[in-house]
Amino acid sequence: MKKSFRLQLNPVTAKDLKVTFRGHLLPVLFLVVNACLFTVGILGTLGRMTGMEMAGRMDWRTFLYVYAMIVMVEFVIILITSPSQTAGSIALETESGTYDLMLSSGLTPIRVLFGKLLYACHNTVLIVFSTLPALLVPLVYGGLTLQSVLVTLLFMLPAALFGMTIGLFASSVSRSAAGAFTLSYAILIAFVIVPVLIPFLLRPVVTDGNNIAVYLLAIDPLTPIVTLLAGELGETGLIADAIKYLGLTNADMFINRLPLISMGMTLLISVMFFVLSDVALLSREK
Amino acid sequence: MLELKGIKKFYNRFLALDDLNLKIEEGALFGFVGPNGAGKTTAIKIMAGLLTPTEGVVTINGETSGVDNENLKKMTGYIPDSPGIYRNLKVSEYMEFFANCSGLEGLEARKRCESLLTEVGLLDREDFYVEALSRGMKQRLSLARALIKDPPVLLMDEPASGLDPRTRYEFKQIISELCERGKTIVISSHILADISELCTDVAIIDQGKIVMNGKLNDVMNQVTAGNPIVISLSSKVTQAVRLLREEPLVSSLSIKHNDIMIRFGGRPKDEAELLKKLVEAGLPVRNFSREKGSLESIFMQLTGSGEDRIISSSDDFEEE
Repeated sequence: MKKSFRLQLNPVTAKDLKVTFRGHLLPVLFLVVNACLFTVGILGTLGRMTGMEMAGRMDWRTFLYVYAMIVMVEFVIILITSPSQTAGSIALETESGTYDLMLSSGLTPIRVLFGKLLYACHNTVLIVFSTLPALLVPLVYGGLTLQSVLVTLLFMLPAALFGMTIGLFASSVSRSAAGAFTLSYAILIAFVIVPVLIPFLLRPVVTDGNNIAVYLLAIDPLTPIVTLLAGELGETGLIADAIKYLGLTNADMFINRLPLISMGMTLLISVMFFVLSDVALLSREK
Repeated sequence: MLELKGIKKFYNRFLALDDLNLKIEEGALFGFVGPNGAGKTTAIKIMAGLLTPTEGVVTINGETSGVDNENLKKMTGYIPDSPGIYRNLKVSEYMEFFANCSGLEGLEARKRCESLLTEVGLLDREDFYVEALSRGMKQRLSLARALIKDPPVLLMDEPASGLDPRTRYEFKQIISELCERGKTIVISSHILADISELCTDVAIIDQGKIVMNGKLNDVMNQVTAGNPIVISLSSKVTQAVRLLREEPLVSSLSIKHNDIMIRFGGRPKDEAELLKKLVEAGLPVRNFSREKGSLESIFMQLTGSGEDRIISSSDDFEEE
């Protein structure tokens, strides 16, 4: 008789979720993230309202800047915490000896990696979407649709995935959790800083307006959210000016499509790190 | 049958296993003995499919390791020396997790886990958190976990280390029962007393090479005149040790309470001379004789060259 198809939750994900829900870490994380965002949102909104009362005129656009500030704070928190969700995953299992037990029970390295990634994604998606009320605080007078806000939240997820896959990779190549944490943050910082630093350093050298190093901005995980926010605030000109300043002119197509290009590159690099993690784990057995 | 053919394992340039060849019959209780760093754990992990040998092949019941050693992983249950545990996970959840890893789900997984926990005597503790169990219980839980897939081969790396005598005895009973049920069990250990009591076959490994291998009785019968001499003293053991270390024909030394076991490369005449020296030095010698064949004596003969002191089992030598 043919077995009916059943969707089975990855056992590693199920186990990690069970263990996490018994602890206090996740609720505390929710509390801290939302507390930060609500604080920024409420103080920023009240500050703007007070300013408008004193000036005697209403400019709803200023609330968009408060909104942008909350988004950036949230994005930085998500980007900084995402590697830590996975950096200890494989390394801690190796240290405690449970990684070998999983392999001997029939799991393959890629299933273990996928399980760990799915668990981290679950927590991240919950945290990101739990901040929706905080993001809406400065929009009491309007300015953006709910759809735009949801798109903004979705744009955070590739960066989170980026950080998580870097953490997985670091965890797969390091034998200790401490080493994995250090390596993952070193890689993340490199990806954030280097794509901006190289074009900036080459700017005095490349004077013909063809500084191709500017294209490296596409791999910076900050680029998608910054370009998206610039679009929502109606400040796309700032992005174009920044790119021209770095020495690349006549790149309108690149500038116009930069949010999507950078998001695509972020996802591609995430896949690359995931594959490298599997390669690293397979080479351990050799 | 479990067979290792021409197994070599390099860690970078370090040769951990050098041309290992072993045949372990079905239903055997195989003891794998060797000093620390001899290569026991590496060999066990290769058999379990957790490491790929640099050269050579492992076959179980005629099937070779397969892609990513999947055949070995399917047919073996692995118990490491330190039982891996998860915090905040109960015994039943721990078992169900590994059952799910093995491909069992739902009611089938739960029933299998319950029957295994009953077998190892942990069903009444299924709601306990794993980290709260004693060392002996964790080891039994590890055994239950390894049996989830009902593998024909069980690989145990130092299963009795850290266990108290009663728990060790109970664990040995469980292992004997599993062997009677037709399971092939490979135990790596340096507790020679356990290996002597339990195992039908034994291999002694040193520096990555098998130095002796075969049925336990056959190995024990290979006792030669090169067996250690046991010197029993009433007191002044330290003085005796000092004197023996100066003897050129004494190549290694082992101390257990007031008994000194030495590897002595001399003839009977030299033995008599040595005894005379000990007595003339005022040492109260109670017994001076060649030891009958034991796994420990063979182990000492075949391994640990250059060491002049080996502590047998877990006894410590106390300075007088």
